[in-house]
Amino acid sequence: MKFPVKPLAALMAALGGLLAVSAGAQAQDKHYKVFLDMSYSGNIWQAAAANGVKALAATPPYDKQVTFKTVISGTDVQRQISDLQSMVADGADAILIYPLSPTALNRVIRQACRRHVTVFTYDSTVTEPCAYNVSSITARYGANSAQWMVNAMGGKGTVVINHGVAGTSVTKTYDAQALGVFGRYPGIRIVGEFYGNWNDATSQQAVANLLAVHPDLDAIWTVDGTYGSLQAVMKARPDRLVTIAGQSNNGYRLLMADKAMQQKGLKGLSSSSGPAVGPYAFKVMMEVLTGKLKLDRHNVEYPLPWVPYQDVKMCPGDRFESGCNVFPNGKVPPLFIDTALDGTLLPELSLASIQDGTATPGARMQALPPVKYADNLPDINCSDCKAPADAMEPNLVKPIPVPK
Amino acid sequence: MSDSAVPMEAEGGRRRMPPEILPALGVLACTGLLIGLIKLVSPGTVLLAQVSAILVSAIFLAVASFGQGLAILLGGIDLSIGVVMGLGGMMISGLTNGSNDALIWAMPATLACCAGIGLVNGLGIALIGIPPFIMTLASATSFFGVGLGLTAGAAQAPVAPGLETLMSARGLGVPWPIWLLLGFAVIAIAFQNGSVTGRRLYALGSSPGAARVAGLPIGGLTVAAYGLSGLCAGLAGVLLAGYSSAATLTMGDPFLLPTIAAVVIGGARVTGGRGIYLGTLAGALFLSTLETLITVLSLSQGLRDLIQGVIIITALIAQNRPGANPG
Repeated sequence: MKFPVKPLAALMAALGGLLAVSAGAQAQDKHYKVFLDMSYSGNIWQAAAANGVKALAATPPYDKQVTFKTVISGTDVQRQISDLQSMVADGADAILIYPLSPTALNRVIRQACRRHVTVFTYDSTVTEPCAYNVSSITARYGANSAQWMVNAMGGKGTVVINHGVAGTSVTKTYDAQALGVFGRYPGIRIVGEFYGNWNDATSQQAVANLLAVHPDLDAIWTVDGTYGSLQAVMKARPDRLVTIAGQSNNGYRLLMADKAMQQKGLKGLSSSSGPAVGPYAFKVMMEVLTGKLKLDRHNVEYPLPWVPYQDVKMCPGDRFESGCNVFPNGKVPPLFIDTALDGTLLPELSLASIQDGTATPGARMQALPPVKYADNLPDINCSDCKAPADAMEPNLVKPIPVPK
Repeated sequence: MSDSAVPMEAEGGRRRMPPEILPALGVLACTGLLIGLIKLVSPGTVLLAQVSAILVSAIFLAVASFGQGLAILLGGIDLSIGVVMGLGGMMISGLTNGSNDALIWAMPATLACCAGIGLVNGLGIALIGIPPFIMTLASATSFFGVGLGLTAGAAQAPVAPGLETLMSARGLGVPWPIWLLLGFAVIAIAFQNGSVTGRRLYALGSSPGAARVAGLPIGGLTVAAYGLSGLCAGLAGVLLAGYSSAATLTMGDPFLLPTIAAVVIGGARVTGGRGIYLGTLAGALFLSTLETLITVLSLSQGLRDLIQGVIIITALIAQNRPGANPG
């Protein structure tokens, strides 16, 4: 049998041409394979962070440059390790992880780095030095929020501590900072503590029970579960509210800003870790990957969201523009976390980005302002390292003198 | 079928009172002691406010535990309760979307869906013969997945204000949830110990073989018990959503193990056939009070879990005392 030589040669030539064309296109406009490995999409915080990342990956020019995939590793470290291995095997250029352990992923991350994969984490951190950590765990939420409360209370009164999830590095770090600050003021008395597990319903039940025991309670310190804690006070003692610090749920910010509530004694601070750290980490990672940014150190700090009750400002539209930071009631559910958006560092995102993971129409990626490097925290974002001497002290709020 | 097939009447026939009533009263007495202890630890406590706070926060556990009690009465278990609670809360806020008018149809729709999950459980157990813990765990995982796919974890809509009012307002000076709890308890006790279906459940639970011989509709009873469990979990979820003014898919999870604990502490036999709702209710109140005491004492999470575990084991040991377990 004879092959028709001519057509075959023509086909080969055509194929070769195609290959050459596509290679040329690649050189012009390199394509990246990027993975997001998230923990658990069953909670609002994780979902908001992941949607923000998805929206940025679909925002020009990344919509053309990036093949983006999301993997949910649940809450099982072993599964996260094997998921990371599959991503590396699949030819990932960069991986953004919500790490489930500060140390257990180190080996697989090292393997990824050896194969020139850029590895970033968001919110939670790892101690492996080849990975980049982007987090606000070094921004001293515990010390700053506790000091803000002490200042608002004039250095005296009774406080309930609403711990987060027992055994996590966030809980340990923030608790130590807050207890340190409260302990410096003899007028501040901690009358109750409980583990609210970052859960609003659990927090609400615990605060309701504590209020019956301590009817004169002055203040509640939380990391999350803030909205639920405040709901309990509003139901049991509607005419006398509390000083409270915690998360940034939209319903909570609206209550904080309400003049009638303030007259009943509500002094609120909205802070804590924001889901926007996810998309921010993605943005930093993409600038490193595309060579626009070179990081001298591997620990980057996402600035601590900080909105005391005086600073709440209503947003007329779907974005956080010109300093606004809360949506009207009914536009978003009360548990919507406002710190999923960031008007300064992430102007590309809008409400739809957080709710559906879609890019904002007409938005293009904006250049990042200079990043802030984070402090070292041993066993949290580095090993064999030392924390700065003032790591447990407030750095956003000036402490008031201890009242005599 | 004749009622003589029911062993409960054979042993405790002298009165209509079931033999489990004494342990139930014992648990209630312990609850009273715990409340006294709270007052002792923290003298500033306003006793009436404390009791009221405990009763209000116990309603979710008390309602959900009724369903768990029925499953355990049949020698089974319902591990889907936490997930169904979360789904119930999410559905009611999603369907009402902050409007009171919608409650009229959203409430039955939500409860029907939650009962439907229970029915699926019951059908899998009764018809296919899947062990209850596997069936309910598998359905919980699947329905959680569906809920997650549809909602991404948190309700995008506010809870109807009427439901919030119901959980925070007072009637005749008593918080509404306490009236609700009272009404629920009366209906639950009447069903479990007063109705024909209730007594047949006891018969089936204490001896499935005898129940089969007696010609009881075993499949129907099993499906009914798990269906009711789903319904109660859904109701608990709806109430929880009203209480916390916002729903998340995982908000029911912390309640699953306490429902089992409440039933066991209340004197039910884990292998089935024995247990009354008064006991379960007492167990739920006891756990809520214990939780409050632990919170007041500001114990660490580890110690707190340890105490709860020890109490459940103690309850189990108390049940297995010779003579404590006729049957």
